[in-house]
Amino acid sequence: MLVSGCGTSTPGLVDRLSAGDVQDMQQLIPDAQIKYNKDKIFHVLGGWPKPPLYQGNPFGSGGIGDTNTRYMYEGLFFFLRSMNNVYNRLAESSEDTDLTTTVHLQRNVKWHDGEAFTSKDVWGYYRLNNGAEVTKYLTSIDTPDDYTIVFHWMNPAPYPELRKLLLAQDLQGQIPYHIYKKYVDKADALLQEAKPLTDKSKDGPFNLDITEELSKKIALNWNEFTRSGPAIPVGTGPYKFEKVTTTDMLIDKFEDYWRPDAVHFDKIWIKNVPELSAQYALVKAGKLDWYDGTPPKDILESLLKQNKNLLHYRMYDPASVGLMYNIRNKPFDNVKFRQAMTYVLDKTKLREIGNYYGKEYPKISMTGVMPSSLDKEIDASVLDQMTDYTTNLDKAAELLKEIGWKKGSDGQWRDPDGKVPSFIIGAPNNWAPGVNSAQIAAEQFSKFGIPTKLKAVDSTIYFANADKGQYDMSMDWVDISWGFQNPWSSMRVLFWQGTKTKVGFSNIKKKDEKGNEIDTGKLDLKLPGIDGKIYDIDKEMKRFPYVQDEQERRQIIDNLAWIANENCWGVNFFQNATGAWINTKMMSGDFPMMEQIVQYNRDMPLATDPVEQLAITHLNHGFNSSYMPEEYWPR
Amino acid sequence: MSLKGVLKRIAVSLITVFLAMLLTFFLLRMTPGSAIDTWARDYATQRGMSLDEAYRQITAMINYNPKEPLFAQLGRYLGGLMHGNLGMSMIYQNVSVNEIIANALPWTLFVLSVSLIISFLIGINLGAMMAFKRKTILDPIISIYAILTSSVPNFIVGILLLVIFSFQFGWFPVNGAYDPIVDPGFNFPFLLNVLYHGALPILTYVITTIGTWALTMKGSAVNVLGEDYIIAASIRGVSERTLMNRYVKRNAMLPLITTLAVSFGFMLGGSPLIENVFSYPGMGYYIGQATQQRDYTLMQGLLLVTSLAVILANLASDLIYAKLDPRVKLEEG
Repeated sequence: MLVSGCGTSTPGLVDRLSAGDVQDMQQLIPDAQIKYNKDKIFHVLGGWPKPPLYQGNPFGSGGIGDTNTRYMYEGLFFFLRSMNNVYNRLAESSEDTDLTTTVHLQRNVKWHDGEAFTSKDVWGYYRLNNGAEVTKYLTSIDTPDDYTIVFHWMNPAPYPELRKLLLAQDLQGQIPYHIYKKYVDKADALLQEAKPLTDKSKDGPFNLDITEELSKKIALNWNEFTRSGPAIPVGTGPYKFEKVTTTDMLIDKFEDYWRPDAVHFDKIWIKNVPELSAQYALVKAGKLDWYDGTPPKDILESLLKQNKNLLHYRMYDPASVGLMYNIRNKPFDNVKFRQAMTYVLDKTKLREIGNYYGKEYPKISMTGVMPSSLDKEIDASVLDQMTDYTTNLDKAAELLKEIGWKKGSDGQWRDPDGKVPSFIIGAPNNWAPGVNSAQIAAEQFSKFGIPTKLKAVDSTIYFANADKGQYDMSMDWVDISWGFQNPWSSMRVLFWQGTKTKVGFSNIKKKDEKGNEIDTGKLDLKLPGIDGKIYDIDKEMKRFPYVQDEQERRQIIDNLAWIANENCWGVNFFQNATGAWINTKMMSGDFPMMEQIVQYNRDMPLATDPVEQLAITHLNHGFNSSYMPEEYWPR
Repeated sequence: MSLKGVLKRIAVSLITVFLAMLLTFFLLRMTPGSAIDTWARDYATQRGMSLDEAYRQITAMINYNPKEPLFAQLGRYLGGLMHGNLGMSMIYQNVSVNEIIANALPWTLFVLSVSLIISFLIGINLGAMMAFKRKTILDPIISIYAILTSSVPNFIVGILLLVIFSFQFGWFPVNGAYDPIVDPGFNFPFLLNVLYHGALPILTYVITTIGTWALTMKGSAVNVLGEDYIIAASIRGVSERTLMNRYVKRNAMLPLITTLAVSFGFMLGGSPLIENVFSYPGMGYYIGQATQQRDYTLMQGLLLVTSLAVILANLASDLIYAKLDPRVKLEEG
């Protein structure tokens, strides 16, 4: 049974704050004074492969699950998703030269099995895990001593801020050399067989030309590595594995952790509850101390009403809900048709149904940049030159007429051949914001005279179908940055990853030795930019990391965002708002916006103060991203 | 019961197993989706690479060839089966399907057998009482209950129980088979914890099957009550209790033995729904997980064992029934 109690038997948070009873909230409480969470357990949700599938190699196929990974493993650096702030973690310090980054390690770091964490572990991490993105930008890694690592960058090297972000993406404390020596050394030997890369159009780890044969050997070694390893995870993080069942996992405070004072909870109890309604029930019952996500308005208000110890914070998600046009299908290959469709949509209604607390940006179509950071990332003059897609049914009709469409007396639009179209919007059936807003979009198109239906498809097959172009329009996250908040990061999703395949951008084809046409997987997209010149998008994207001048980088992003908006490959319905829940009965801390909690009765609005915004991002993505904020403790 | 009759039944069962295995193999491969589609998408996002590249890397990593001819796959599968090897999970490459089944099967058998025994015992007693007291209020009450519970899908009942007893009152755990704070093994705290976690899944099965047992038993008992030997016993002054327990119940139960085996099969087939409601780590739970991930080898292994269990239960009921009731002979022709 969970040890946390129901949240309604004690004075609620607002009562406590109103009575001035905040002493136990803003400071670490001595053990003897802990009232409710005496076992000092932090309760959260998570998922993992169920025993007997659970194993100790985080790279094993199927992984070990997200939540426990966050608390058991660390990297050299740490950054919060949606931010570019990079903090030292296993790195004590670092310095850059033109072509190197030298990292000095913390001295007293130990693996959970007691072995010392050294530079050899970091070297081994990248030699074995040579598919990690950063290795494409490196030539070699040196370890002059046990606590120093020198990363040698290719010439030209990525610009300094990006170097650290690329390194901060990885959890380098995941491959203990003393456990995986056999596979690390084999990978290193195989890489040494490769010749330096001479073909600039190709990528390779450590600037090496990995031949087909060598690639197979490397993959085989990796495959053997993923099948090996300890039965339980061995990391360097603040918590180490204790026990797992199909529905519960316990991880214990690591007694030899290098920063013992930063860890205030003795244990983390992770529950695996996939059902959303069951998750809300646990939040309401006060059985979770932190919960990620903002439910629909009525559920949010009901949870706060029923448990007076709950506190909810909102924040922008670096992700938007959007629709992508499939340009493989006619008439979506015509930019004017796509633009006409975009003018039909009323984004306010889409947002109200999809995510009430989100925010719509009516003027843009889809830019590849997170809408809330458009003003920061894109030059004002470029924004002014972007086509404004605010709902305009007259403009939509005008564009359709320009391409030969006619509206019949029955109110239905007909294509130049006189046919009434019938379109499908595909959406993954378990993604409520996408399905709900797509339904409204379909209704808006149909009402305008373009019959459209929503097809909510089982999520296990939806994405493969959408990538193959089976729907006229498909729903997914757009203008999204999964990692660091850099517009190049979100542009990669647009031009190289999920958005690319759904929109259906072409790849460069070439002939093999036998004369067969093969797909290189590389983007084949050349379009006029804001200055009227033709740009090779793939080249611009590849050029970006190496541009040292910030102004020039901004110009690349300005141009790509403008191209995306003008070509209208999709519609950003609204930027998602997410949130974090805190059970203040079991957990205290230096909560953000403390003075406003009474005023807003625990339903906190989006913060406007940058300091508060940072604190809320820490509270939300911090608990969610391999980092336990130190300013929270058991109550 | 002749040896020839028994052998014939066994042969029919073996053919059924083979056909079920073939059907499972081909039907699974006809379903849309692939084990590595979603995986490749996540992998591309995590590693900052193109979807094509991610697909290529994963295909190499798990040694999976999506273009391997279907009959070559079948040949490999049958070859493994000959050695009792159900293959490796496609997603979790370091775990064999045999291992997963060995872990999951005991939980399913525990819940199913306990609930079957409870519902059978209560059901036949209620049925016998209904037959004896046909003019009382008991008969319509149990009849209405039976109609209601047999018409509502059992997973809906499971959800209702979960909402009421776990979420509202907090009396039972939300999910799982036991808490991580107890040490698995033959010790009292663990056994108690297992019973505590199994209570709601078992209750779900009991609630939804008890009425059917009662109605079937009532029909059978009413027939028996009309038999001459019952009337004779009654005239001889045999007490009502003895009449019910020793004369009616024993004879009326016989046709229910066959139903018991068939019910076991139905319950096993329906276990994915119940076990997923309670995240109970039995066969059904893993069938649900494997289906979501399109893990063909795991799915076909689990479904084969499920089919095997149903076929064996039917075979057992045929043989036992013939043994229990001397009037029934296994056909030999």
